[in-house]
Amino acid sequence: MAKALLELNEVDYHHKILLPKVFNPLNRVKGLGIEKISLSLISGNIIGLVGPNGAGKTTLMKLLAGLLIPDDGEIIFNGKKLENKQRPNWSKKMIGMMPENIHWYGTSTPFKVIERLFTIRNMKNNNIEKFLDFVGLGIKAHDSLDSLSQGMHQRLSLACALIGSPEILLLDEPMNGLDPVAREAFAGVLKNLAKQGKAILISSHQLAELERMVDSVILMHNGEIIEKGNLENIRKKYGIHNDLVLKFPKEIKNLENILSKANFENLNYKIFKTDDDFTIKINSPKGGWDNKTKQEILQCFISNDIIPFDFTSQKIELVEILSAVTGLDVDKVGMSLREKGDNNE
Amino acid sequence: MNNKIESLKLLFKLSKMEIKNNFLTLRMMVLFPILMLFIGGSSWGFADRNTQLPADVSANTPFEVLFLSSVFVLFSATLGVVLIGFDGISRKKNSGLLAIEFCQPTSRTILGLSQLLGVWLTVALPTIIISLISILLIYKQMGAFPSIGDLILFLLATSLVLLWYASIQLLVSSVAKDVGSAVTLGVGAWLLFTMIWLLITTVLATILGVDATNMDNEQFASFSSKVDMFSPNGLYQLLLEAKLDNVSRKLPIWQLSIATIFWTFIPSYFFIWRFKKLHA
Repeated sequence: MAKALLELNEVDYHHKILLPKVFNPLNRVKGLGIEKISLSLISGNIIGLVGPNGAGKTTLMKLLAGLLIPDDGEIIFNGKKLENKQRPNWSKKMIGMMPENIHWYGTSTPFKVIERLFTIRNMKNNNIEKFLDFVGLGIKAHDSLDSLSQGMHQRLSLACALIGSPEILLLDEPMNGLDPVAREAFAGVLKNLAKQGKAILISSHQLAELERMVDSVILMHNGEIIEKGNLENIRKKYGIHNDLVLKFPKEIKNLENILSKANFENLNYKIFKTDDDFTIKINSPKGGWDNKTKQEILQCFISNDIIPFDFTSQKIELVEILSAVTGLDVDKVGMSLREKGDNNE
Repeated sequence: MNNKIESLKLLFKLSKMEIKNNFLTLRMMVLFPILMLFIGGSSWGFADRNTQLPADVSANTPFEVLFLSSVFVLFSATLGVVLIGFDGISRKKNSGLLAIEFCQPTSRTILGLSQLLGVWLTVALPTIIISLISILLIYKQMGAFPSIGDLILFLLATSLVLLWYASIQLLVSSVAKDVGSAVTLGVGAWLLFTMIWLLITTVLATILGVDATNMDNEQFASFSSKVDMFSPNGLYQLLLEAKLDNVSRKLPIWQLSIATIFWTFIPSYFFIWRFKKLHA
């Protein structure tokens, strides 16, 4: 059985916000944060950390990396419980962190950046170019940071996380700025690293881009983990199924009649019109689609000489899953304000 | 013991890297000629026998010339520390690089100290080299060298004042949230000690009933020397004045020593303390 490299038990953290008062200019109040977080990072597993903006993903990542010290709860590294203070160096050696949106700029080069981090880790500097080759930056090793593209910057950030071959990789929004080809290559690199036994946690607010590469997901909302596990199981648990999307070259005037004639008057659908197409998005029935129903829907249009040019099954977006799990409306789930954490310390 | 030696080696390597990186910046290319013109130029000028100086300013010995050129050190080299150090922490913090460095298995004390040594030595090394060149210029003009003791005092005091400024700059840089506030705080701290300190001294003197209308009187001189111990520039001048003969505001060595120890360790201690608590 694969071992848990890092575990959090009921961990709380709240940002301390400076709110000066007349007689206490350094007054700080408890701000937003994360609450009662429990999770395990398992060797060889890729876990997706998913949630809307402000869910607490970056805070959780920083906590795991030791950049923030929890207010409460337990952190267990390789079976050893850590005190809630600065991380010991042996535990830092196990972690590689790729923070979100590193601004690489200036006349420095990828080689110099990695050379400095090698030095900080007290590692020999003789294989930096080979190391940069691994993330596809070998030929750009001595180019200035200003001359590199966003994708190259992301690769450099990934290279920083991989220094010292850590057993746990924490990647905060690593896909930002990567083109589809680079994303594919990136996913391949991560899968290889997982095969080598590394535990990988990737955060993103886009579920679709993670779906193909992760073994399980952790859904976060308002600083709490609201669900975790295999995505397919979560979908089944909450009855979340893909929508059916049909695209037609022109508007269908008698759509309701056509559907009711075929006994589909109870279908829940939405219509989207553009100059080029007419799209019908049909929500999944409870229990999901069966192939026969899909065939019948297609048949009812074809029998009326209305031929769709596209017929697809559309994946449910993060916001819809969050809506199902939290019970909030789709419109509210992304924009809901966090009310917790206004108490004075 | 081995661990401590390893840590010192790492500190040395990181500081060297920091200095090398700083040396290759545009800021240094601007700074180097300024240092040369200010320190070298002033030494050359003051050492020239034909230079007309105010009656109360004496430049008869090589050390007196060095003392006069120390004013130009305060205007150029300390400004150099501001130029190099004002965004030393805030830049890394805002770019996200500090988070990556904090994740590495190295103590924050070493990272902070390497930053401090890097900023300090980037300016101190060229300043010392230019000061040594100035000694040659003074010799060329006056045909005499300052004594070894005078020279060591000048170089040591000059290095120390730059260290004090490096600590202050990095401390304020660690507080700054963005480039704007980094510039404001960095330059503000420099202006406070370089331009505004005399005003603060005068206001304090007036409040405390010391005659500040005539700055040559002994009471004010004694008061200002005490206030100057709380300013790096003031203490730098006081340290150099200790070697001059015709100065009325001499302080006891023990007071100067305490102030020097205070300025050397307290701001740098606060910087390291702040650096260790910093959220990246």
